[in-house]
Amino acid sequence: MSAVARGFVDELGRIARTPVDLFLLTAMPLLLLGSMAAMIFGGSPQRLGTVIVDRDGGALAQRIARDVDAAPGLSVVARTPDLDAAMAMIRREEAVAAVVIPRGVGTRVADGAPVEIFHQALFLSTGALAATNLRVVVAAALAGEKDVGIEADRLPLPGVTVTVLGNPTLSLEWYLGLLLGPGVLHLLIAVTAAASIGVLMRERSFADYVRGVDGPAGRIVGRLLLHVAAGTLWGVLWLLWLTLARGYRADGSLMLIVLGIALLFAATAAIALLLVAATREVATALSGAVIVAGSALAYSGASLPLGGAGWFARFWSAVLPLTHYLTLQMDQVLGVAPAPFLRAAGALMLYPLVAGGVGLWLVLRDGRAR
Amino acid sequence: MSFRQAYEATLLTIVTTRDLLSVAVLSVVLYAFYYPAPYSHQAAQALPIVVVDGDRGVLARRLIEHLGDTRAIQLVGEVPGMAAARAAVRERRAEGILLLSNDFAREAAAGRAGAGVGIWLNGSYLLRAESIASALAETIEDALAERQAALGTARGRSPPILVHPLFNTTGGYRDYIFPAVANIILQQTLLFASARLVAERRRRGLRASGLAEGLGRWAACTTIGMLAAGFYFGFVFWVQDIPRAGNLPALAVAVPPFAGAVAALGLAAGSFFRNGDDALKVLLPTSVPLVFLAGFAWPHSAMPGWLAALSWLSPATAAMHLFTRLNQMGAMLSEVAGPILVLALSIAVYLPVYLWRSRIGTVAPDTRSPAAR
Repeated sequence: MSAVARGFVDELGRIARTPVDLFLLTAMPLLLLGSMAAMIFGGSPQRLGTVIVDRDGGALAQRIARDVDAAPGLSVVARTPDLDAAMAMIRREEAVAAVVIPRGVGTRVADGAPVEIFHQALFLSTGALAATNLRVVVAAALAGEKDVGIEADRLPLPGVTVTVLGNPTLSLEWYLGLLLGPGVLHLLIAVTAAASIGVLMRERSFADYVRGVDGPAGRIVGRLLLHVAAGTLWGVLWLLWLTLARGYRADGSLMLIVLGIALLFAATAAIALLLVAATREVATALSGAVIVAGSALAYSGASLPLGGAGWFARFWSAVLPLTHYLTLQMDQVLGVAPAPFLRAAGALMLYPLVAGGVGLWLVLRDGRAR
Repeated sequence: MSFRQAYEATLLTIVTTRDLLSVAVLSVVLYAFYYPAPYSHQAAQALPIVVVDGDRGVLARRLIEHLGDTRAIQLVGEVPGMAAARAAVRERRAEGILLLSNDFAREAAAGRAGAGVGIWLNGSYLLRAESIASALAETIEDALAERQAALGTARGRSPPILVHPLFNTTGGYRDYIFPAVANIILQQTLLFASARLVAERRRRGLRASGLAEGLGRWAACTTIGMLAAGFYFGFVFWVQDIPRAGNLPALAVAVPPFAGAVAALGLAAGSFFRNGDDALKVLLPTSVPLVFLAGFAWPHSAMPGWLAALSWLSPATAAMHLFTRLNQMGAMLSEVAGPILVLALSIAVYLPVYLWRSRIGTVAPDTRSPAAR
């Protein structure tokens, strides 16, 4: 049996004997991914609460209220002439938006007074969605139009032919699912891999381990491979959940995404090795893992693109492996040419070579030290 | 050990133990600047799009000129046809395509706004697609309005619609994310520190001598949490220029239950682990899901009821609904009674668990050599 295979078997045995570590690679991902799957299962938020502040009470105002309530993304939760009461409802999170209909709306009495939409921008994802819907619905009602079209759901482009590539139904479940699964597993595997290397230390040194086993480099790689395999397995299960069970479709290659998942977790394990080898303390390495992996979604640019961000954010984003994985994955969801795939995959391969190489060298150096 | 002795000893342990100091204090400071950094520019900028202009008329040219006026999009090229435009998207040089068909001007003149316009968006990044769509909608609307005004054909019957973002008046992304995530940062750092503190005591075979000692330890951890919350809601929000309404008396009432609930949860959770490393290993990976379960990015109303209910077991969920209302929305104390009550109930559940667990059970250390593990 090669040193790598022996390391893999050693690690398998250790995890089987250690309930916490067994839990972290089996029940924990199930709980974390299961909760995220349940959270987004319902698709886009529907029936967002809206208060109608009706200062007119006429037929057009009635129609606006009726159309808002009939729109699939919206629901009228109260009607009042008092804006302060509507604001209090938004503060208490009983509504995410208010529409103020001026007196004499649609007649000369209004004298050009606008219809105003106030929306909860502190919870921007739902507030902006409500505002976009409301704007389209109110504009259609004011113009006397009956049907505002399917685009009104998320995109404020009535009348325009819109084709959304990679996510034709504008599903938030597909979009967030593609980010959450890898984001959750990236942090989990960074923690389990760092902890796995940490147990090989005694008094902040790997000397005992390196001298006590044959082929220590291969064994360490084998131990980490178990975490790469576990992360990849859970990542693939998550992808199958989204595609086979939930019916979403990538226009590119699922196999290339699976390859990307394996590369992500190889990169994650390599960074974990480097963190432990450099800090010589499990707690500090785990804190480092959280800094690297815990905020990686924020730095990936997958929600807010980093064009226009400061130099540190752009530099750190390029350093973190999740950025490159998500680029690879989203590119395959869209279906891209080979060159962008090769760029992202090439970047991911650098982590095992550079971070993993330096980490391994630091560990093996302990065995030579006297 | 008396309450006061336990209180002082715990504070001393936290500030003199490197692991605990780094989690409970240094991480709090680091995340105050590290987490908001990728959102500091607030809005998407210069998302690349390509244009296929099949019309080539005055209105089409004017619309294309207007594309440069928006911050969200950047015209990276005009291409002769859809094949070249699709290639630009496939090669990731563009996030979207704007097609103006050869009857675009005629449709606009006939009052069918939007007809003759086709848009293709990379929807894999949904929020980018929405930013591009919003910018294009504004640009098309402006170009058509300008043209109608120039020709004197503006109808002007419909009243204007004004949209006002509340409590985050620029609609900025950092001002949306950070006030909510700050509560998770405050929770997780205190949770990790208090859990590790107790788990390490357990590994070393230390038990609480009585109720007073357990309460003293809880009060010390609560103090650390209150100081951290004061640092965020006072100094950090001011330095980062986060929208803040500043209801200080209400904050003075609301912060102690939050810090107390997190400290109690951390101490109770830590008492179930054999050592501090195990406590960190299990608690650290919960950070990302807890951010989303707090209900700001994905509303509780869109979650299954059981999951939304479970999310309140994390004090950060109540804190998010409490402190964003107080700090950003200018809510009165009566408007946050619900979350404060949840935090008080959390203390009533978690603290007795810790006080019970702190008196029992120590563990045998793993003495095997590293090579045998």
